[in-house]
Amino acid sequence: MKVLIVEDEKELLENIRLYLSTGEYICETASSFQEAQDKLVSFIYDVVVLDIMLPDGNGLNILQLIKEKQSDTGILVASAKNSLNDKLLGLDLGADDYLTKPYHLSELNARLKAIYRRRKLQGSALVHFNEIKINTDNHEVFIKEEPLTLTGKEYDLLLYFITNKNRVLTKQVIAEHLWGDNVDFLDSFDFVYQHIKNLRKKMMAADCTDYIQTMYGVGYKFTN
Amino acid sequence: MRLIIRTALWYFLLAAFVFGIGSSIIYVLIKNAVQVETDYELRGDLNGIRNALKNGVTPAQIQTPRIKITLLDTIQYCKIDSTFSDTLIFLKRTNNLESFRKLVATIDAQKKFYRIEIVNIIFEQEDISEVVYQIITRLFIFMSVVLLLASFLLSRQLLQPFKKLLDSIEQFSLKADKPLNLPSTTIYEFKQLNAFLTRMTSKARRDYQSLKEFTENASHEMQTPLAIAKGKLELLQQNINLDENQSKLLDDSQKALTKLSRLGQALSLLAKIENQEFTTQTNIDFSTIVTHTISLFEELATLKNIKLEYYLQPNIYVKMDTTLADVLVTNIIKNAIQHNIENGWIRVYLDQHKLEVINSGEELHLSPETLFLRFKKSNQSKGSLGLGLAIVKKICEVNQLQVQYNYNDQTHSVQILLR
Repeated sequence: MKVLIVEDEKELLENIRLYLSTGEYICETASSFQEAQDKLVSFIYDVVVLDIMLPDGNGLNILQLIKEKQSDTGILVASAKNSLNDKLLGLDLGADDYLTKPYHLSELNARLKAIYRRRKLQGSALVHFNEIKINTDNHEVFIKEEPLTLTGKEYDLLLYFITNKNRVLTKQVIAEHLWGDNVDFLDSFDFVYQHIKNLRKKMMAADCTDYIQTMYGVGYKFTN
Repeated sequence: MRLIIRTALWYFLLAAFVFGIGSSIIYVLIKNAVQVETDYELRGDLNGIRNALKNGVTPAQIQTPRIKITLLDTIQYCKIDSTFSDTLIFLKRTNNLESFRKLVATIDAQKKFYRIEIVNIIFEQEDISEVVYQIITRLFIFMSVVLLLASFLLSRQLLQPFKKLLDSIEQFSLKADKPLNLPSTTIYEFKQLNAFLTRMTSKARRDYQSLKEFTENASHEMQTPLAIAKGKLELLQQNINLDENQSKLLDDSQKALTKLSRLGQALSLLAKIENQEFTTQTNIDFSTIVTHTISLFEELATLKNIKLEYYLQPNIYVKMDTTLADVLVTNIIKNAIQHNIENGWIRVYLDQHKLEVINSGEELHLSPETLFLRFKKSNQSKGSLGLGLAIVKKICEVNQLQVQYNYNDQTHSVQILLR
């Protein structure tokens, strides 16, 4: 997947580049409106991560440029400006998703892959991991071609694990992915453990290998 | 007391004083003038008598009740002189003692010496003071009436710039985006006051503005470094060589940064509400918002073993910004879950009069009203930011809604009165 990250903060850019470089990404970066424009004119990208607030221009204009030049490109708007207006405007102009800074890199990864699936893998929106197969169109999960019934949250959890495979996911990250920002007040994330326990149980009952590795004191990792 | 009444009273006091002193002066002056005139006439009479005597008229012919002529025979005692004096004489006509001016003179005529006593009734002191009193009281009354009318009529005119000034000040608000608009005036004092007020309010506005901007910028700008730090930590967390303790340290740092970031977002939201950035007032379906929010929190409530019940009337419309309505309802319900107890309960009521969220909770050690203040928390150890209810209060303020927090025997309730 070829991604362009437009972000004026160099350090943030570096973080994203580093995190995504371990996955199946070809990552390019632009730290200004001008640079982003140049790259978008010359190259084709699968997904663009776009910061709205750029020092030399409004990211929303780049959004329009992408829509004109590369209508197949997915767009993920990321901005510290968490006003609803920006969000709505971004989505109105054709952004696929919106992320509010600061976000977890694993969340960015999951969103990018979701956009990629929706945009590029039309008709074959299937996610594979060994014997696990997920159809993201109708939310169906198959283990060794046998359907597995999961609750909504369990499905989200499994998909999140697979999109972030081989990465450490803290309970906080998982909780925020499943319930959004509203979990911040729950003093412990023990209920994440509950969901993971249930998911594990169901999958093992379906004769699936236990890929969920518990990292004590940190969180979990979905790995071979 | 109104300024004009006080001024009028002072004028009365001053006038009374001036008129009091003035009447004494008038009295003395009139009295002196009367005496000088009387003396002048007496002297004239004396000259007449002397001339008559010199021309051979006999004293008996001249004598009247007013004029008494005595022939002096012993020359050596005689000295040509005259003295004036005041005296009282009984008058049959008035049956009273009256004041008279008396001239006693010694003159010579045709080698004879005469003592001449002439009296003339003078204007009585009591009469003079009576007249003075009459004049002065009439003048005083007249002046008072004029003064009173003038001060009321004039004050209306003179104080008009002041009244306008007061109106302008009353309408002035730091939060409004317009400077203090003062009426122009030609009066020096009001000009000074205007200049001072303009200086003061523009400084206050500048300070308020920069404070507002600072809050907004600070909470906004801190998001980027926070995002960087969080990202670095997340990268570090991917390191497989970490032991459990190191991972825990990273996780704790991550949590603290998340909290800091939320704090910034909440402060930024407060600043935005204060800056009137949410002014789109549409008739929104409050019932749907409440229902939707509850559905978001139902699972979280269940996770904390909290029984969530709700009694919502459909089609309750409220005029406010959609985002704010969302934030408002979310904050109240979140608050009810967050500050609940294990196996607690929450009841949400919505009808056309109010939205009420009642919940079980720990004992409250603060006065309920203080919970609306920023960073006031009943239990400091909890993970809450202490800004949720401050945001609720602020949203209610900008939408002119009334909000109440009631506490009674481990039962907390937040009530929002809808119009």
